[in-house]
Amino acid sequence: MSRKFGTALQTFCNDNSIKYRCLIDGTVETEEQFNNQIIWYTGQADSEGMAIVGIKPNEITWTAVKAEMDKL
Amino acid sequence: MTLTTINLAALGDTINLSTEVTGTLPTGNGGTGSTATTFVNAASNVTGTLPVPNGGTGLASGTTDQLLKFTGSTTLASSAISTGKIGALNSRTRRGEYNISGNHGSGFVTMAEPYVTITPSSTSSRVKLTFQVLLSADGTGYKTTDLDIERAISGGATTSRLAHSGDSSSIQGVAGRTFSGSSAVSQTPTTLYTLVWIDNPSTTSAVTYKLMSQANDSTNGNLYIFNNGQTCTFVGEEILP
Repeated sequence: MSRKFGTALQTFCNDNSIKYRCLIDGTVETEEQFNNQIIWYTGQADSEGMAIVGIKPNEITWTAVKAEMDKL
Repeated sequence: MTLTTINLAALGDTINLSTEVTGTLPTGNGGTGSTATTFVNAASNVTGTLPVPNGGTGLASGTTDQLLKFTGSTTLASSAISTGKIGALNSRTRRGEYNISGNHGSGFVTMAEPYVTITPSSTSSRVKLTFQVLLSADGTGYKTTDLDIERAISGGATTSRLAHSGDSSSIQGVAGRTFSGSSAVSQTPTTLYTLVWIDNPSTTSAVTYKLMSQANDSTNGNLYIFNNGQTCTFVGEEILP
């Protein structure tokens, strides 16, 4: 079971030009898993301290992440 | 002169006790004064109670649904002590990690699995939760991980961050870990935590518990909860009142 996806995803925020927060459920190795197993958050917490659900940054696509995964 | 003994041997004769003796020998003479074969009927011939030092209980009655308890070295009595017996039991396992990833923000998230559902038989029942959690992280910089619990009552309220809701100073929940990475993609060892929480849901409706986590990180990285190659267990037990 690989952690390549999480490692590849980090490359998108190494320079902090893209900011994101997400919860990944299990291993992501396919586009279907990329589309269905990730919850994206705004990065903000509500008054109860709960992370607020948001949307995926446009720059982070399956094609782009997969390209980074293939480099690992 | 009173006749007290008969010396049959001296007379050269015998008496057949089965056929030649009638009547009963009084108790004053060492007999039973009775022809009955049951000499003591405990139900009708005995009164009072047998004391504890004599092997009895010293009791004539007890209280329904209570237990017998020594209240002194030689005294027994009914007792309403709580047994703490286990009622409902449910467990669920999880193999496969969650990853809270990113470089931005904070806030608790709820993990869909594993969860346990308990339906208490009494509003006075408590629920004991025991959950194993594997944690590791990668990335750079200072990073903290907080854990808490979500409680959802069927047809009722959902309470996020149980520990925090019970004690507002418990901002980091029931447990946490601080990671300090020094280089990019440095993997910390996977560490197992076994956490216990006692809840008082005060309901007889189904109650579902889930694990919550928050990753606070100053820089980018991944926080891994659970593991792809190991199974963790989440157990819920109803503790009867």
